[in-house]
Amino acid sequence: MGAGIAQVCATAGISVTVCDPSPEAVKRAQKQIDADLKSGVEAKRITREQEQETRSRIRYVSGVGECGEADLVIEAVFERLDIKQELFMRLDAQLAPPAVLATNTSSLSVTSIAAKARFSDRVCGLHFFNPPTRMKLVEVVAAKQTAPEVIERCASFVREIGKEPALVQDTPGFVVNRCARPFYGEALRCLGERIADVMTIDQILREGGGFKMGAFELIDLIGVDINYAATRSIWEGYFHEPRFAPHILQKKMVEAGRLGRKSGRGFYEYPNAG
Amino acid sequence: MPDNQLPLEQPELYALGRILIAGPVADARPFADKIAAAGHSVTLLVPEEEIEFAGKKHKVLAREEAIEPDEYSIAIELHCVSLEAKADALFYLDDSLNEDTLILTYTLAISTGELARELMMPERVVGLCILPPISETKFVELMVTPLTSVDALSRAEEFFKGVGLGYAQVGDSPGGVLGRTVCCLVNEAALALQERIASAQEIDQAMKLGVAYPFGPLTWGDRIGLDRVLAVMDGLYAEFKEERYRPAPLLKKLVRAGHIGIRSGSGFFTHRQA
Repeated sequence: MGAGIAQVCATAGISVTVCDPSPEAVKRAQKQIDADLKSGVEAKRITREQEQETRSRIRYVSGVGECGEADLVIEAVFERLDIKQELFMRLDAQLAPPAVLATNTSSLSVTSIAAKARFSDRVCGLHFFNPPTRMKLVEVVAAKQTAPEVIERCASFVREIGKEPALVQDTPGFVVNRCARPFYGEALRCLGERIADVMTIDQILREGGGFKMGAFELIDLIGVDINYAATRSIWEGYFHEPRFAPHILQKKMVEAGRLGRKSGRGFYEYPNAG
Repeated sequence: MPDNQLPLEQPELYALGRILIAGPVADARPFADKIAAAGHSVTLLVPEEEIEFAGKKHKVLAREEAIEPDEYSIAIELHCVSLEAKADALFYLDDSLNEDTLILTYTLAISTGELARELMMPERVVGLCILPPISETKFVELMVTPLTSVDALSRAEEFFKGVGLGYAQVGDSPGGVLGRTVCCLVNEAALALQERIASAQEIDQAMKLGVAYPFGPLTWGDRIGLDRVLAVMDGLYAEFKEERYRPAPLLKKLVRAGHIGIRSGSGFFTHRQA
């Protein structure tokens, strides 16, 4: 996801450094960005000049020590609290305020990441949606420690890169992932209670509700395991609040390896996948 | 799965007489317009005090006037939230109509079986679930009770096929699939708003951009009517006795204050009266 975010920033005219401890990961990021820009030129979404300019704005380095000066750091490493906390301790020591340190977490507590920084009031969340090059929304997450002016700066940064900021408090699932829970949860309940089958539920949500995709088509696209993990994480974050509880069907599907499109079978079958 | 299976071959096409639509004018009239647009003659049966608002497009009867039972092959009862008005209308229809007249009863907030079992002929009752506003109906969910006859269901399906509305048969449950899902989305957003996780505008914006919902959940609630959203949540809570269906206190407060959404000029948002 970091590569996508870097590309969005560079496209908007901002100089970006892509930084990863692994040289291979840095190469992969460069490859992904270059390929996406090239296809943008081919599809005439951008000109060849824009492609060149965008590429010239991105610098690739391996090693956190090499990232140099920055006004804003957006961390997009693996979703594990201890890894993120350790990184924020290093970034905090390396970059003096007023540089802003932002985490692109979707499920971890921004407050507990910020707690590892000495200057914790300049830490916030910038939750991009996948793929960042296409999704318009960024949740700007205020941790318990975040200073109001840091939120303001981040919101104007989000607008500068052509996205829409939503200012949210640091709570499990923030706004989008939390408020979307009933879409999956009630569809699963209806299925579990045998009120209707998978296809009927999806048809009702699409044709009756105007949703672009039915709940089960969407879960299959997201990945049944990923959707299950997101459900669990919000449920645990709210101390097992019953309305966030996962459904046994999600667990059984994961146990059976029916993970959705990527595994060839989820709530639907995908004979041509993989 | 479904309690009743469709017969493989339709026995005969029923000659449809007039359709009787009983309910408050605000819901009965737009639904009558849809039915009439498909070529049916419609009679509106409205509360005495609303008769002057019923318009001239359809034949109109006040509740106190006697209905001519031979004219009607199908009666549609459209009372939304008031259980009392609904029971009253259903008993009246059950009493006054011929035995073979199909009765479709609007079941947004309760189970179809709850009232159907009280009637003399519950086998001819099919539940009809539509997410308000009824004027924008594109799709209906048909609910059968253990008492509904196979014939009644197939006549209901035949009718909606002829009218050109999408339909699906689902099990008997408050809210149906769509009402249950969408009202729980509204309720979750109301909880997030009450907790000040984000502003109302930002919650709606985030859900539209982040997960591409057709409306922000709070705007959607105002469109449905917060009294109706609350009725669905109360109905689900009464049916399942589960914490997940507990209505948001903010929702209750707004309804108590009469801020029920677009119909009253304000709800989660202020609306300019049309």
